[in-house]
Amino acid sequence: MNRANLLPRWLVGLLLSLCIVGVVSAAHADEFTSEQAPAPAAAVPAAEAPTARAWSDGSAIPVPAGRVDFGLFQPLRWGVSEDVELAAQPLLEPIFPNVEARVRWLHRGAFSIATWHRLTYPTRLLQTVSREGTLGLLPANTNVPIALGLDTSFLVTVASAADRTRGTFEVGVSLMPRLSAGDPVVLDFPFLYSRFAALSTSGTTYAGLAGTTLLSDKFTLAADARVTLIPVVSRGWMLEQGASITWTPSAHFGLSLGYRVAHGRYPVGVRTHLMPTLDVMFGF
Amino acid sequence: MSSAADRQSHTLRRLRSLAVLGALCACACDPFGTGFDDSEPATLYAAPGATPAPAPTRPLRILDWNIKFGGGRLDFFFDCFGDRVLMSRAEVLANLEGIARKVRQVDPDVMFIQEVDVNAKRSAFVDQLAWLVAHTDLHYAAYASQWRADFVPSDGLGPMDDGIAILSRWPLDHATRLALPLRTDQDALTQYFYLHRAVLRARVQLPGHGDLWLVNVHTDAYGQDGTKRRHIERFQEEMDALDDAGELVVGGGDLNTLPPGTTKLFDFPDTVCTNEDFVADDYRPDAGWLDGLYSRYSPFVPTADYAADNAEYFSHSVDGRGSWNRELDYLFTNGTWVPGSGVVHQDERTGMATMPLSDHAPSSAELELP
Repeated sequence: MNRANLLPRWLVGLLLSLCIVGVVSAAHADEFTSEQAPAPAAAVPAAEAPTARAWSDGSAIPVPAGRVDFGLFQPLRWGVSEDVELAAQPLLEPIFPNVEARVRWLHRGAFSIATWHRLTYPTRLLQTVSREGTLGLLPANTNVPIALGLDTSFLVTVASAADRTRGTFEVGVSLMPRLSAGDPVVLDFPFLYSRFAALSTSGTTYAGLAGTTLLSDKFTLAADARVTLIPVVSRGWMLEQGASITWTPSAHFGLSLGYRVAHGRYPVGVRTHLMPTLDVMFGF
Repeated sequence: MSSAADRQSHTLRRLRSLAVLGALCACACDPFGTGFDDSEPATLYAAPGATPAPAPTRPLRILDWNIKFGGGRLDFFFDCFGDRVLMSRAEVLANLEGIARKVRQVDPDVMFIQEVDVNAKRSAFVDQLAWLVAHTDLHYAAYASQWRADFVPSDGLGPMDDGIAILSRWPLDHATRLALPLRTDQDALTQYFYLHRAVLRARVQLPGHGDLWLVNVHTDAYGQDGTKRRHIERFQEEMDALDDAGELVVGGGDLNTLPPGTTKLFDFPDTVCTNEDFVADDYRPDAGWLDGLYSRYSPFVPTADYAADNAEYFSHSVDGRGSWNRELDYLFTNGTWVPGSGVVHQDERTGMATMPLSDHAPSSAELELP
């Protein structure tokens, strides 16, 4: 039996609804934020915020309203309003159409609660890597099903006084409901496995912790860890951890250097992989 | 006392940190785990509840077989007859059952195998060696990986662990994987993910008959840079070292070249690939490469017998719908073969059809007990 057929329809509906809510929220950002987001008592006025805090950091706190930032390997993020951020990976759009939204629902003092939603179309990317020869990550004869990627996570961020340190807890679910028949697709390439595993299962769930702290006005240290449960194999899981130091001499330019480690149970067994990360970021 | 304990604790912490750093460096320097040491212990296998066979009472029957990772005659992309890359678990187990049936029929005491997958996506992650030691009377094995990568990012192959093995009725020891030179006609990235071939050497202590050393190899097939010749020479060096030490040795494997006295050396009818990466169709440059082995050791098929009828000993064909058309598989010893015992099991004449089981036919011979 195809396990994808076991996908609970109510869960797909819920995820899709949440994705739509994210996008709709962005479309009505002004109206939404004026009703739902009272000015935070302990918020740091934008003018006094450290330069590094102008940059998006994956927490429940969206990028400041009106700001756009992007990196070579990071999504382009747009602060639609104080509480809504839209994002996409423009370079990947031709082969991996994607859009994401971060919606902050609550901001009280040091606490922010948000949801993050992403809608993707993974089929074209998987078809691209189904090829003969170099970079053939999947067999060329793979019949990749038409599918949608639906991701939703719940984010809680706590900021320290003066917002020098932020800690974020997240819990989320990824689904990739199939809209057509196709082969089982397990892309067990390091760092991609957990991101596409939902296509060959009834879904993946994850939880993680992340933190950023300002080392100085121009240097930020970030670290995160996430555990994903991947039912491709019995008791499958993946722990991904990363850290980086970002240098942001201004609100317009940044340089980030770090690493990511993925340690988990693949179909081939438990493996560990390390990857250096480097990014050049721009914002305006 | 307290400061000594503190120092010890501090040292332990530093060692732990170094271990973590070392592991991270290893991940970074060999991110997909494809590398090997020049010499390292082979992986030993034993069937659950295995007990050594009693002392042999007849000549030792030695079998050599390239089992093509349990792929049978599915039309794989590299044969250029089809586009298959991955097998289902059911396909792998069905093919292994055919191989085990042939092994049980030949009833060998020792077996060399090549192209056995122990943890590869293409063969549904079936540990074929563990399966074979559990489903034949050869309950002990030593394994040397030749192609290992957490992920081969080419042709959809993905995770790979394929290699060569020696199976035996008796436990093996001194099992060692000896790295062979890499191909030099590939770019660094291709070479990193490509096969890292090896010689597998092990000893079996025959109850009541002393030691027998075993050497298995699967040499390069497609290189245009003389790598195959270096592999053959290295294989012979291992046999020579044991022979010089006065040991009884049997060496065998898939040498990917033709014996002296072969009449057809190129332009085989089942070669349909046009991609040079997968073409091994002209053996004329290999002339004389096996002379050293043939002059020092006894081949399982005497040269005169082979010269009299090449086709009787053909052991390979790319196309399962065709017929065996070249001999690539060998057994050599510094002992004595039972005259006339050298056989290539091509078809029902030796018990059952083998063409559907692999692109190589098994070869066997009987060794006089020391």
